[in-house]
Amino acid sequence: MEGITLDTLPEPPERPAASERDVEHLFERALADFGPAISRIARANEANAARRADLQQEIYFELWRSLAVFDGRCSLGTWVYRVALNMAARHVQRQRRVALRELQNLEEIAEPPAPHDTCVAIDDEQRLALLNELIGRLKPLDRQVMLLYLDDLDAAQIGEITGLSANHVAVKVHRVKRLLAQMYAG
Amino acid sequence: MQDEPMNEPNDAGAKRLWQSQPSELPAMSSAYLHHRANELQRAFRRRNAIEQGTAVVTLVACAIVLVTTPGYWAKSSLTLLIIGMSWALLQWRRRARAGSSVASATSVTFYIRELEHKRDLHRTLWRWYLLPMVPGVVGLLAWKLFGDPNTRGTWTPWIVTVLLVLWTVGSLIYERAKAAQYQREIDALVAGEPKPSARETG
Repeated sequence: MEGITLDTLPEPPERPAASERDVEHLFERALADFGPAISRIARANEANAARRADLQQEIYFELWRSLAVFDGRCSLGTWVYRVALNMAARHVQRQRRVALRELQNLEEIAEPPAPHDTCVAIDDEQRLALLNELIGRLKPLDRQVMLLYLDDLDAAQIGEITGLSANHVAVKVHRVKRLLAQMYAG
Repeated sequence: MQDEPMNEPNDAGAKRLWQSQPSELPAMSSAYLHHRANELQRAFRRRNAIEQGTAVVTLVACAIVLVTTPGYWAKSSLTLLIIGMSWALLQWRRRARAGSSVASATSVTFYIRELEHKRDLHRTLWRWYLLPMVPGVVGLLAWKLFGDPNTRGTWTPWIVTVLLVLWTVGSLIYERAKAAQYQREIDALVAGEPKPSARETG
């Protein structure tokens, strides 16, 4: 299901940690509903196809392990997004050590050239590449806010997943909007 | 759902494009995950066996050196060095395993814990890794400088001493700088007023 929001899943009731059968059931639900979102998170955090496949498997494996302690205090969607984003952030940290690359804040990052400034119009594939390149230069938390915003989550949901205050999310989302608008201007 | 006008026309296109990306969904059945978990367990057991085997071989080699080395000075220094190395390796293993693994925590908490783990490693490395080996190294150097008739009065042990001191000071400066770098990142995150940790782990 593309572009799913956390609202599409009801809040699970309070209950003790999941049994093995529950874990398998939850895992299947998580994959069915949030598989595409996990795929997008992996794609945004790793350009290399082989390493991306590894990252995706790592996310799935950690998700499966973590569901054993899923107690329903947050929605399954929030849980899945947290695990996926945290594993992706850890992956980026490891890769950054290898690539010796400095990441930037949303406030620091230079706005991409607007398409109307260039002589040649760019197609969707190029836009997507630009977007991925832009995301790839962001620090983990800013990257996560941008990914969640692109997945159409609202400020409250972004705050619940990331742990950032509402004010902080609002500031970051404002900056994300400006960056996206700049990319799509014209 | 939106509490502010997030779907403005100027970024709706970006969102649509983003969400329309083809998904790469690897086959991932629960049977496969069980298989992966077992593989991981086997890998841990293999690693433990290699670590323990290496430790046994090292201890045997050290014991041979201890027996063949003449004099109590060298023997006691070597013993101290072996004890120090064993302690440092044990600590290394314990701390490497104590890494945070709260995958479902909020991003801020997870990121801060990762940074704290790295900061603490760099901040305390000298205490549990370098310090335990100091008595043995000092004893051995002193023996080479003043006790061993083959090296006493030569430049070699002095050069080794100077190099060791330079390496130790350099390492301490590097570790302090790395710890400070992680602390600055943590401070920047904490200054961003993250929410209290009541719901951190869901």
